[in-house]
Amino acid sequence: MAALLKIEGLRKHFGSVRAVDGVDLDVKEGELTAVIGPNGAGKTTLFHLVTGAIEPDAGRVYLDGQDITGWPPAAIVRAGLARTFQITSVFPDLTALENVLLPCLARRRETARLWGSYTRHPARAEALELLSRVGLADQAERPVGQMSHADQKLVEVAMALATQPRLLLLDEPAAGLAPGETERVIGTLREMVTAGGVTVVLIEHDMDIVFSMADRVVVLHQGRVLADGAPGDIRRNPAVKEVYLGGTFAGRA
Amino acid sequence: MARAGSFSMNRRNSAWMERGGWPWLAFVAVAAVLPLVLREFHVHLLTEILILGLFAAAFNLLFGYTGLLSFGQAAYFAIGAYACALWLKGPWPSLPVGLIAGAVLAAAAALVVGYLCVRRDEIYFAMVTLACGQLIFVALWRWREVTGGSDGIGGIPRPPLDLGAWAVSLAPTLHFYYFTLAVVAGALYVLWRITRSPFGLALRAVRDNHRRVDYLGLPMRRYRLAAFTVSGLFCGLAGALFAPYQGTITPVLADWMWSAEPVMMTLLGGPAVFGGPVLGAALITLLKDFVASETEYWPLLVGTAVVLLVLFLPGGVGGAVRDAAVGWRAPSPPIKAGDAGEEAV
Ligand SMILES: Nc1ncnc2c1ncn2[C@@H]1O[C@H](COP(=O)(O)OP(=O)(O)O)[C@@H](O)[C@H]1O
Ligand SMILES: [Mg+2]
Repeated sequence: MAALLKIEGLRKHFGSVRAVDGVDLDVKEGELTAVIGPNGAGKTTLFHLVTGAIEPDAGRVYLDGQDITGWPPAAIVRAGLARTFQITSVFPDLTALENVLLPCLARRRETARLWGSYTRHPARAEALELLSRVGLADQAERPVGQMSHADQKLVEVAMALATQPRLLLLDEPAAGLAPGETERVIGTLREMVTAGGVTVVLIEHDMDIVFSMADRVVVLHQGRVLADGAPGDIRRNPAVKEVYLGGTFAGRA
Repeated sequence: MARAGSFSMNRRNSAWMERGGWPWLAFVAVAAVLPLVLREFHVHLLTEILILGLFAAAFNLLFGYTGLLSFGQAAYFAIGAYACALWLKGPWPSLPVGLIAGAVLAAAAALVVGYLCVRRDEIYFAMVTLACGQLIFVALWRWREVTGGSDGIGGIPRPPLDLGAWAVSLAPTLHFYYFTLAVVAGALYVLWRITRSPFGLALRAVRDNHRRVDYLGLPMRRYRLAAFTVSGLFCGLAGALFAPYQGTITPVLADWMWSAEPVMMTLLGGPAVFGGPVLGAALITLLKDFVASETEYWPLLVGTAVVLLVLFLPGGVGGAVRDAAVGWRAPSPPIKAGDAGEEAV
């Protein structure tokens, strides 16, 4: 099957820092891919490059065969690629429901409508459904700024799902979540991928979860792909062992 | 939407009351009755309050709802005023046409200026809107053949309103007041609906976290530009009403001092409540009128009053009034009663 996401020779340097230094990567439709690597490996920068947040120095990005390099972020989202942020980014003064309703309306191209009430829009039911999928239906009317950090992360996942992406990039969706929550969120994503319709790439530090949930693991190190393969192969890969044993990840690996 | 029987119509009506219909009804009722018990001079003042209230509410679509502080909204007010004045002095004077011309021209100017401004954030946005506003001020001042330069335009007529078989004179203060009330109430209603529309939700999201909206598929700058244009349209409409109200207009209307008026009115009245800017316009206009007749230091006193109110009533007077109304309708709200004044969201 053709790759849903194809990254070719992607490069981004910040001065002398080679954040992303020639990455090639294919993501097949219907897979859950985990990107791991020590802090500063370039994982977040890679997501920024793919989603149009920053321009690459070199390289191309294709979504379902279409060259999306240099596209504005909103256009990339409408092409079917959504993301969340490592540093949680929501609308704190809006309620959880409004946070999720906005992308629902945007997807239906309703946000240019100056007339009609958004509080009674049919998309509201869909937003509520998404909130209950992340277990937050009972907090729908709360301003997100008053919710716990973990719940804010879940709202952000629901917001990304509301765009109905074909490909979803999640930057540390489980960071700061309680252990049970982490499994629930990533388990939900796992089920969605298995059920079909969405492909997920996530950055995650919990190795147990990565190795039990992911179809495929990509190890990034100093801006390059160090290893790429099935969880079992990655676990046995000597180069990966070396990076993790020698680096800050020794304890977690 | 189902509009089957009278039962569902009633339900809809009561729902409308629940969702903010009461303040509207109260506003229109008070505004309609008040001039009957006031002297002509005060009816004149009330007309000004309505016009400036619309100006401030249009400013607040940017400030309170989109999170953009514009220091150049006077430019669109002035464009509306000049366009309407010129039309009224032309061969086919008609106030409705003058109002539409003023609003549309102001919106067009806002579209062009907004294109330059919406790329900037916070104080830089304020500076660019200020600079563009001053540019328009200078243009009005220098383009003598059309604008009359520093003398401005005088003798602006109030042609009768042509209602088919019936022509209503707008020359009497009271008539012009009711005409203004109809236009301003209609415009405020449209603005209010916009704030509750899907577009209005997008604007609030831009205000809250403008870097985020693009990643939900909404091009943020386009929404800012649309808000800027809509705001310009209603600022222009307010200006277009102002021209026949005053009878004389000068380039001062485009000056940054005039841009500061809706800023103060909104801060005083409360940017988080839709009616806040209108309330602020009323308070400042009345305060000015009252204090100016007592002392020549009135700007100092008005300024002090604004500073004190903003410091001690951060949600503005409108925020406090709304919290009080909410408390009155639901005697024991689930939120802590202690900080009700701060909860002006
Ligand atoms: N905007 C930036 N300016 C300068 N350096 C940056 C910037 N963003 C990231 N970097 C650097 O690029 C490297 C990769 O960062 P990042 O992609 O955030 O790593 P990761 O997400 O894998 O922890 C780090 O050394 C970081 O300091
Ligand atoms: Mg990171």
